Amino acid sequence: MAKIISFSYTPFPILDEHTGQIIGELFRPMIPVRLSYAHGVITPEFEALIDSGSDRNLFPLEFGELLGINFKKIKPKIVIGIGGVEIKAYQSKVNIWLNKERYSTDADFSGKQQHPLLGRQGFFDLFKSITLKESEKFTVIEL
Amino acid sequence: MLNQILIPFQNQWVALTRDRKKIVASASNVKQLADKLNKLKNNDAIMMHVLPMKGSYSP
Repeated sequence: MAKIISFSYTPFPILDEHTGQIIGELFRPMIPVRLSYAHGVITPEFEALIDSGSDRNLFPLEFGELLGINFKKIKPKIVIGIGGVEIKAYQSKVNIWLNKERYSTDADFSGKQQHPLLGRQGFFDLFKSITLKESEKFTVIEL
Repeated sequence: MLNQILIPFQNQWVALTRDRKKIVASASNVKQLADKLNKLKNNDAIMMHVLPMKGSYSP
């Protein structure tokens, strides 16, 4: 029987751009994960956004610094974002920890990215399925 | 409530208690935040980057 884990979406306020007052609420499919590199330190748990529109995992560069990844030895690559903006990123093998299980995978790190993104290559492809139940505001991962 | 406690921390990293009701530390980047948590000897907090709230996010 397939093992399933689920996470409720995280709520965030929407603010009026002129008054700064709360005018609504939106929910994002974020899940708690950790990162580690080789046999080194494991990061504290952090919320990352499940992003089916991202080809690959993308994390802020500071995560790599936290993990002790030497970016000077890695040739940078280009990652294209919204509006066709190109940012420089560094690819590295990492471990993603979810629910106390370690998954060896791959991720990109960029100084231009502040929000951790879990993409299709390197996260979605680790599991049988990932379902975003938008009306119920739950992310369901079939391991 | 998570909603409201995050408002002053847009574009920053925060560390939340497990029940996500309280912020225990904040910093401008994740490395600074992790260093703060290490000094506090807090192994239980959850870190989160707080996106701006005046619009939607399309990564």
